[in-house]
Amino acid sequence: VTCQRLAAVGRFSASLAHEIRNPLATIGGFAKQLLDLKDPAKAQRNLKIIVSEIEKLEDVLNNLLEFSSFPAAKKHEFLLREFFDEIVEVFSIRMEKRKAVLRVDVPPDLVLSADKAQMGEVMRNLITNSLDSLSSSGVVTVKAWREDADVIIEVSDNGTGFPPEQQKKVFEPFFTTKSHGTGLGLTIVKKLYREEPRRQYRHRLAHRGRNNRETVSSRRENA
Amino acid sequence: MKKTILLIEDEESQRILYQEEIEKHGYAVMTAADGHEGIEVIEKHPIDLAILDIRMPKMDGLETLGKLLSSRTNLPVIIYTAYSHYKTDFMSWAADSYLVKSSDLSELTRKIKELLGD
Repeated sequence: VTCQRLAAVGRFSASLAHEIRNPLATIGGFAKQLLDLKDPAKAQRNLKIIVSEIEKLEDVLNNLLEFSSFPAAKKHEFLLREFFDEIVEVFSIRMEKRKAVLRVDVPPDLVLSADKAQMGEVMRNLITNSLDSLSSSGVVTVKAWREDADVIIEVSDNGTGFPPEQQKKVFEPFFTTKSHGTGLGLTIVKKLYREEPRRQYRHRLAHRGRNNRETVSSRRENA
Repeated sequence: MKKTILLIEDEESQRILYQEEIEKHGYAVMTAADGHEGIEVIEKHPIDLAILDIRMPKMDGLETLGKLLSSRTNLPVIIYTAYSHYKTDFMSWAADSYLVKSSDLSELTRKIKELLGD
């Protein structure tokens, strides 16, 4: 067990170093070019790239902080459909850019008792993963329904899915199949769900199928 | 005639940066965003040296390295990556050089010149 933990720490450190080194090397390289640049248009281009790489570093840091400590959940009841309307709005530009569709199939009167910010973080990560797995013109579907005392939320897509050999690793910090991204998304999702004994997180990962789906369920307080 | 370097790198901003810096040293640069593209380029164009990132979508750098060398056995290859630990992977030993990415690109350009005898 100790060996496994040490190996995980090693992989974590290597991935973190990679996530920091890549944007840092790009920022440094373009900044050094700026020192001698006479062309204002090229200087502007360099600055834009530098700003975008800094944003990537900030993403790494934000995900790292979220991963290492979560504030205590502040629960309240809210309408899930309204919650997902906001999510659709947030993702609209990215969806349009990728020619993808985000479908929401949630009853208008379905109420969830949860920390809205944390649930937003969970959905942001799951939908981002789905979106990134789409080749082109794909569909991401969010469904929610009540099952006895549980509210089930399911995020599915018709993207590439995960090859079987990668499925065991998806919750490892910094494991990613993408060339960009921090590899902390599903780790954060799982951790958020572990913090809450009354919540469950289930996932079913498929490879190149139509059934890549992540399901979360939350039990009502009085159940 | 200028010697041609193939740069296989999935990050667009890094492709731009490395291409511009290498061209300053008098080389022509062709770029590819992943291993598949890189292999297509090498099959169609006379390439003198390849620079290869490791973590890329579709086909990673080590797999690409194997395919590049099977079609061009003597092609000099530099692995240029933000990871340092792949150095211990014997697959990477097939490359002529393994450099860790840095904002100082002089090490990369020095290695290119050394491998091309310039």
